[in-house]
Amino acid sequence: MIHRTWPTLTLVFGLGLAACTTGPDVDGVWHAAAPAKGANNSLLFSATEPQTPLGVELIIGAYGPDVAGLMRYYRSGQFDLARSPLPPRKECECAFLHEAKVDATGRVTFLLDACVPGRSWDAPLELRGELTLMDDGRLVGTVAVDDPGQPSGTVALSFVRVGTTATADPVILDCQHPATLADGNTASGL
Amino acid sequence: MKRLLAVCLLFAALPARAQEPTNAAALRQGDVPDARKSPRVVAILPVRSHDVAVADLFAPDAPRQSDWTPAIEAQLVALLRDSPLVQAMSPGDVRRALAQDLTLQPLQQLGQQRYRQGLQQYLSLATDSATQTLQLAVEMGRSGFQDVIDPKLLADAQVMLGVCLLDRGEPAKAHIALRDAFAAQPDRRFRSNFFAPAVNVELAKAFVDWQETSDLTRPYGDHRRLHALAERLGADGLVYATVRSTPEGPELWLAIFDARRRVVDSELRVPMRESAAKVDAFVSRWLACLPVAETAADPTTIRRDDGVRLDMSGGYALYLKQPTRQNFQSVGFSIGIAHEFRTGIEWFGRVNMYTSLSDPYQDLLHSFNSVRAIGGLGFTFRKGPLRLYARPGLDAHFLGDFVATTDPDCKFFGTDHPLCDKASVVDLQQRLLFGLNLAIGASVHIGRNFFVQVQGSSSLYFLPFGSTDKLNYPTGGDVGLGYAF
Repeated sequence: MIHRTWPTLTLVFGLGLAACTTGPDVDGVWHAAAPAKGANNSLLFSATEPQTPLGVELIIGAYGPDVAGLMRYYRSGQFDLARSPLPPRKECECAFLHEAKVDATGRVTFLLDACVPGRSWDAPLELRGELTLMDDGRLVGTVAVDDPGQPSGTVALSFVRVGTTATADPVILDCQHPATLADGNTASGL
Repeated sequence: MKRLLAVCLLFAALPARAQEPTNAAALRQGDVPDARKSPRVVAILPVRSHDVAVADLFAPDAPRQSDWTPAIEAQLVALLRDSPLVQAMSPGDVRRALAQDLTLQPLQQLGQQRYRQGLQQYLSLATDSATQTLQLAVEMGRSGFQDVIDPKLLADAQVMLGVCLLDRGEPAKAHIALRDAFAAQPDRRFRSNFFAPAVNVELAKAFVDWQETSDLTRPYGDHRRLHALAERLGADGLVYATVRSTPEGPELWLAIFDARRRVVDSELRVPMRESAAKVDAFVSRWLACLPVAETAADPTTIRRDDGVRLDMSGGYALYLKQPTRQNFQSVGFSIGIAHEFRTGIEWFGRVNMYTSLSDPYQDLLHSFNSVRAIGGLGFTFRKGPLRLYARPGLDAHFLGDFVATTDPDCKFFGTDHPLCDKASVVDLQQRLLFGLNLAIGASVHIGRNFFVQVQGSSSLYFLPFGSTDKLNYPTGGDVGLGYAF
């Protein structure tokens, strides 16, 4: 009797869950340590400390097929709130996601229109990101230059979810005016 | 001024009434535990005796074995009459009640008339007509419960039907008719020279067949017939018994049929020598296990349909028209009141409080709370504990903050953020909607004055004009518990 009942219950419960689920869950705070490459063709590296891995944080709010969020860069792959003797570069520490979407397979696409660490100039650069939610829960993909007038560059990123947006500190959503430390540096240390 | 004075006097009188000493000597209805219980009517059907041996079938003057029937009937009557909350009908009462039943009398009389007519036709050698007439006599006799009142009359008709069928060359049908004759009157015996020898042979065959194969536990037929009999007698239970001979001595089968549940409630099979004590224990056990007798009409406890009915329910609602891309659900609870001031017509009022659950795309920026007040006239239909109603009414819906958007930046960063497209934000400025509501529901009385209620309802808002296009047609259901005062 139990052998017959459990599959039925599981099916009913599963169908119930499926009815409530709207798609892959990409919502959350994601961390990735971008490879530290000082090569000219690379993206996202610390210009001042090229051998130090750069921390990349992706914060995603998913609402059905729509996605909003931002990408923030940290001075090291440890995501330390470090202080630097150098003056802060607010312009390049954070960028909003634009035209971000997630499809039913867990593929997230977005555009970034901001300067990126590692470049010698601070002019905004158009980037296109394509990440896919893997079975092991990682968000894996690339961020590449999508600006015909600029030198090309691509960086492969693998994100691990470290928290949810519901429990995250609201200050992390403040891209324009990040929290300032006592010595004047920004929280991300960049 | 006079009204104010009356109210003051009423309040002044209330404490005095509360402090009024109770009369300890006065016996109230609630002090007598059985006062509202009605006795169960139990009818004892005539006990059937299967003590005729095949050898004695054609020896009417042969001495019978001990006739246990009167003793068993007397014991059952005495046991049941001594039991509280049981109104026993003796076999004599049963026969009298059925014989005096005005709706059965025509059947019984017509059955006897047909029997005599069939007998005349048979003697006139009109065997075909006699067969048809005797078949009618048997059917009428059975429908008139002649086997309970006087089984010999029915058995006579069945025996003559069997004889006619034999004459017509239909031995199989004759066998069945003769077998049924013994079922109606098991202790029937015949003079050996009354029928032709061939008929006697068939009688003996039918008797043996009946003895070997008949269901002794169903002497008066199946449950449907027993239920019909109980209804005729107004009985809640039927007690019937059969005594039969076995090599070990006479044996008693006793059964009690529950007319309400239409099942045989208890059965007892016991040797006659032990029957006195075991029947006593059997009947006592059955009486002890009887459910509490139905309470008689009592104005303090019976369901009052003309009173005020109050209910509290849990509810679910869905807006068939809403600004979010996916439906958002609302849950809440409601309180309702209704009063049936005239048979089939009631006024009602209902207050619903709802809060919304998030829609799948979270277009609704925060929970949406609302309160609805509904009132009007309802139409009711009642059958037993079930009460159906339809309630058309007016609906006033007080809306809480309702802010929705399809822009993910507004949802993520807030509506004040520079990235948020303000044009995508829908803020329902309208705080009050008016319209019509229709509810259809049912309540089931579950005991005392409590009832369970289920209802479905839908509303249509049309006021204020032009402000009902974003949120409209709330449709949902409520399930709750109520009390009729």
